[in-house]
Amino acid sequence: MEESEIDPPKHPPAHRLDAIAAGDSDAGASAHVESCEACALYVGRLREQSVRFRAENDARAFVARAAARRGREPARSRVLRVAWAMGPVLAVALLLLVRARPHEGALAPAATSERTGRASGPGEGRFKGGLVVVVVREREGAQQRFAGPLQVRAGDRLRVEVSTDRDGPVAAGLLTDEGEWVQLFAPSALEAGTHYSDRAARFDDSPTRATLLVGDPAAVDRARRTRDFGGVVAWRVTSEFRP
Amino acid sequence: MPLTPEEAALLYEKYGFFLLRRCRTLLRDTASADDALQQAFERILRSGGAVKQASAPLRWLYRVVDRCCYDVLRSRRRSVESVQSDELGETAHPSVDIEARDAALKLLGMMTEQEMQIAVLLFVEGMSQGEIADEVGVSRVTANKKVQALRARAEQYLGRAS
Repeated sequence: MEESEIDPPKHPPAHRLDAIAAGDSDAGASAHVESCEACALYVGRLREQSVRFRAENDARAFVARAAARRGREPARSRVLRVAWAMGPVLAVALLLLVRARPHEGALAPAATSERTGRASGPGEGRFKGGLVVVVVREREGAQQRFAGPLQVRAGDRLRVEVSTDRDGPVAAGLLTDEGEWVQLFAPSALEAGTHYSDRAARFDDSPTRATLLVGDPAAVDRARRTRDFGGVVAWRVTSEFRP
Repeated sequence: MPLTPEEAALLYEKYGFFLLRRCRTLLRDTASADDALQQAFERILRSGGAVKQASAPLRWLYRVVDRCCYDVLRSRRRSVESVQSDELGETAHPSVDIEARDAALKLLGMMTEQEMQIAVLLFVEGMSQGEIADEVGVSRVTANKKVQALRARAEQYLGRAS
């Protein structure tokens, strides 16, 4: 059966009608609009609204704001490019992470994580500095959100979601008990809002012992070097099944 | 190929209303919509030169803003509880069932990117299944199945499932 018989196009799609309302020429759509009351009404309303919008909005000022925003991007973009360029290195680091051997003494959730308030919602951890951290674990197509230590098994993917209520620098990654670092969130200046990690960590069936670190890049770097997790979010990530 | 600020300003002047309306329709949040549109223009300034050769510039620009909105929706990864038509979203395409559209928009954040794209083409653009198949690059049979599934999800959300 032809889909067009099930669902015949009654009117031109919105982008063509909108373009007419914006002043573009489209002979076919215009002919339809002339003979269709509903489309004529739609186009007429949009035309009126867009004229009002043009009178009330300064295009040059808007573009200047976008350009200024663009001017702030290069530092972050460079960092991201470096992160992507280092993909093979990170892949090796990830391999080392998932092959890390267990340390029985490191099983407890990091007591030094700076969690200062109640979770703001299911699967969200709120921290000092207006930082809300969520770990998203993808397993067999389903996503589960965590606000603390979590377990993984073969095939799982982890990403970090960071929400901030102010602009500020953030970094995140997994530090294995052997000291390998797998970067998930390249150090960057984030604008207020919600951000997803640049990279995801995928796990195989080797035992995993690591700590997820999230926070100010300098504090994360210090935590990596000293293993003192004060001042950063530090959650344990361990294997679900022990060998 | 980049676009000069003057060229971008001309685009905004002509199409800014439509692009902002699109962002607000998809995101249902004025602040996020404004932000997504700025992001879109940031991309356009950086590498939007191709729009000058586009036979349908608004369609080209919609693809850019849609992508920026999908990024925002992906980061939300949840359904939006309160979706209300604002002044920019009241004028829906004549083919679109507004209730089903609003239900689908509430669920956008929980969809895959392809589902988001199909939902927008179906419920916002008012495209037929054949047009959706061409736009997304899938067979008509696949488009038909995905459209039926999306409609069923919207109907279920509305409690209209039979």
